[in-house]
Amino acid sequence: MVWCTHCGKDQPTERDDINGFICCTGCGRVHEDNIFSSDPTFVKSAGGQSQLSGNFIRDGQYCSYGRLDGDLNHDYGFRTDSHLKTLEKGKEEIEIIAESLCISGREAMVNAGHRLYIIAVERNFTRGRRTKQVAAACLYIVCRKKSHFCSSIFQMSYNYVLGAVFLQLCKLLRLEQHPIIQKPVDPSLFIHRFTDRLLGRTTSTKQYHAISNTALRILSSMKRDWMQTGRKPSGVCGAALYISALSHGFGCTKADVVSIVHICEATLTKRLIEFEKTESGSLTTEEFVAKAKELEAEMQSMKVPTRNSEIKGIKGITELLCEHKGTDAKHFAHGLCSHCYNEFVKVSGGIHGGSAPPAFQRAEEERRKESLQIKQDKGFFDNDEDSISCHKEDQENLEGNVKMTREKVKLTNEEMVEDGGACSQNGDNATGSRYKNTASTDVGTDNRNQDGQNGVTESCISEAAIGCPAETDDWSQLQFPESYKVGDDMGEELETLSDIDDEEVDRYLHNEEEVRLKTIIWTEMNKEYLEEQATKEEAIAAAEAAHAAALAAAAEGAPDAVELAAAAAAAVARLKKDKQRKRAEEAKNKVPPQSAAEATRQMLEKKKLSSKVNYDVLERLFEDNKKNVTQTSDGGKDIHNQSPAENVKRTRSVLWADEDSADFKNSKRQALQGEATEGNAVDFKEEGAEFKEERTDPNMEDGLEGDDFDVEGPDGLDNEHFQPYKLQYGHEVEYEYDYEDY
Amino acid sequence: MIRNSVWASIEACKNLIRNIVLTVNLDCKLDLKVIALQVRNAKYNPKRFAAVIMRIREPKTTALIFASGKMVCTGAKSEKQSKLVVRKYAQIIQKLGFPAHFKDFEIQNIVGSCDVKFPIGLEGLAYSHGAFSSYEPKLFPGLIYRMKQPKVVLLIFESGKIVLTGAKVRDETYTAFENIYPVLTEFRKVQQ
Repeated sequence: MVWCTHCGKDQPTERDDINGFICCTGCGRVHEDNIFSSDPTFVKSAGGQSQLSGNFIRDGQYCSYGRLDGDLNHDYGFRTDSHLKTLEKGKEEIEIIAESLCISGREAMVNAGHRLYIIAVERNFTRGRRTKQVAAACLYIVCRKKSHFCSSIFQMSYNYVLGAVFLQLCKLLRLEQHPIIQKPVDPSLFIHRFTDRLLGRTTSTKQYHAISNTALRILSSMKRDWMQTGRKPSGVCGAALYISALSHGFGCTKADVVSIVHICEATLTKRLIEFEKTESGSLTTEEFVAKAKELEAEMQSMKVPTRNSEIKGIKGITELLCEHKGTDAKHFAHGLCSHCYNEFVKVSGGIHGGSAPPAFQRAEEERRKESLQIKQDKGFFDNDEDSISCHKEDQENLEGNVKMTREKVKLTNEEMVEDGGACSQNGDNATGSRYKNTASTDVGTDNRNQDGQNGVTESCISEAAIGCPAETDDWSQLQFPESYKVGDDMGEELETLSDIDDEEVDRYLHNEEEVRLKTIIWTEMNKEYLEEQATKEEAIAAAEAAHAAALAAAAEGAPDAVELAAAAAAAVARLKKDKQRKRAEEAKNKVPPQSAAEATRQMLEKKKLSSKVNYDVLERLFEDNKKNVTQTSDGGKDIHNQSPAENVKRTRSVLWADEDSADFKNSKRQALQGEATEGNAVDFKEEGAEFKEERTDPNMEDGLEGDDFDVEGPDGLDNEHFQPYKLQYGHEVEYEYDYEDY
Repeated sequence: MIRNSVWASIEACKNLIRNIVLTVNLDCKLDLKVIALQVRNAKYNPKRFAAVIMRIREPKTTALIFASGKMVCTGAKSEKQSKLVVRKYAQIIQKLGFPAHFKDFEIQNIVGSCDVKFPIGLEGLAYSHGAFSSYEPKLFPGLIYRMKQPKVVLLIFESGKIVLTGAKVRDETYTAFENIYPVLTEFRKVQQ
């Protein structure tokens, strides 16, 4: 029945396919005359050629050629209806996406999505946005609404543009208030999918289940500890999965997890740190699972909390305030019905459970540090201002302050304890959390563990490395300067005032790579020193070995050897005494220097710098002076002047000879000559060898290299001066020491 | 008058203590090479000096650590800070694996400085307190006053700035300042 304008009423119509029109049966007025036929008809055109009448029209489009409902004036021509086309295209896109995601129950979803798409098109939402995105958003809404598992699959291609489009669409469709959209996505939905991807096909289903279950439990613990609020679910998910995988022995790296979950490694690290700060972070896997099971069991048999009245402000609420307000649901607790209350407990751990959210923890720490700083400054200020007499009072004041803060801490502590919450957050920050990987020394961890056992509970905002009773022992051993000997209180004061972070200390240490590099550099730079050390050690070792050998030889029982050893020892002792005596005599009998040169030489000798002195230059230095002196003085003085120079040289260069007294030389000679057995000759031979070498080598320039002196270069000694001495040696003649009386 | 002087002196020495030198025995033999290689701000040049020179940024201090386990620390601004600092150093050493403990913690020297805010005639002061003062303007522009009780050395400058050193306890510094203040006012230079 179509409204006919001519008749003025609805009239049945007749369709004439041959001619292609629809007309009114009452008056015969033609409503539409664009009929489609599939039989081609040909007409003759002006030029005599036959032409196909009509147009080709694609399936799914209509042509408003001619009149539409009697409107002759508008001639649309062969125009495709873009509106319909758009809608169709959208549906296609939705279909494609649904197919690629392998969603079950596709038809219904696609249709539902398409309906949303139509609305979007009508509201001009598709303008300026890619069709694909809009299609995806529509499909996503449908999935979310259905709470279908596949909504998590959608997250796979999570990108920000899509998210934005989705949010806008929600706004458009007035879906913001819809609880489905409002509720944050539960990360536990993702666990299975991520686990699957992480583990691959190689692991057994048993392990898969174990890992995913632990991950779920970790997640719920995180939820209770407020780690999940305001965070992207994927981050929290990733962290839980990582921990769970590692704890089951599946060695996945952070990189693996990051690639699956699509978060940054920094984010993952952050979440891990936050988790480790929570109470659960310090449990082992078994403990954790046990605890989780406990909690689950508890949740099953949920009791109405009886502490309702104790908590201020919620006294005696009987009115239902949750989302089920107005319905028949009964009030269960805290203004919530049982369903909502259970959910509340599940998500947040209830009123008693869970730790403070990480952001709050951080803020608390900052606040605490600041207050400490202020207190410290105040303490200094007090000290500076008052005089000495007030000093002691200040001490007491400070202690008072400390005590006060402790009281406060205790108060807050008690509150927490009263609630029965699991608030043993003592130094869990730095306590050996099993999930933590840093290597702390045994001392450190022992201290902190003790701390935990002693139950020095502070507020649930954990403080790192504070309040170690073990350390008070150390401090009580301290011997403070007198004005600070205030006994144990000082120790306490120290504990609360000082706050040495493990982190901070770690900052002062190199990592492995740096250590390696530094070792290389340092060894290079200190090569000489190290070589010197090495040679010194060798020498010592050799001497010790020789000594040991000598002793062994002596112990073997040859009487000669024993005598010789004794004689040698005695000789050495005598030598030393002689040396000392001689020195004393010299000091006493020293002739006051007659000239500047002499004075200088004496000074040099005394200071034992002579080896570094160029004597030639020294002599020449005073030559002018000497000339003057010699002119006016006796010859004897010259000699006197001369001989010290030579003598000095001699002393420096052949110091070992210095030590020889005639006796010693004799004894040694005897030893060398009268040697029969090998064993006995061990050490003497060595020394003798040294002797011989030094003596018979006439080519030595610098003098004899022994332990007692180092002569650097030929500067200190001239060959000429040296020769006569050496020659004497060469002949092994007993020579007289000229400078005995020197 | 005396009261004013006391008040003025208190005003002047609000920020007195500048540096504290202390020694402590860590009570264990240390391997300086290991320490030097693993700690970030540690210098060890065995040829020149047989100790590791370690620095800490917060609070800014320097420590000399010897192989015997003894440590000298300078740079702390107060006694409390110095204790904290020693703990930090000990913690670092502990981290490297040495069993460090605190033994014989002793403050060796406290350095302070202040400003009396008026110029001083050093010449007169040196003359009248000849037994304690040593003033060689050509060598050093400050007067070196060696107080006997307490045993503190003060460097007094014409501008009115004073440096006090040698005290083992904070009180000694204060006392020394209290003692010197009237003397300084006595030799105050009148502005022309």
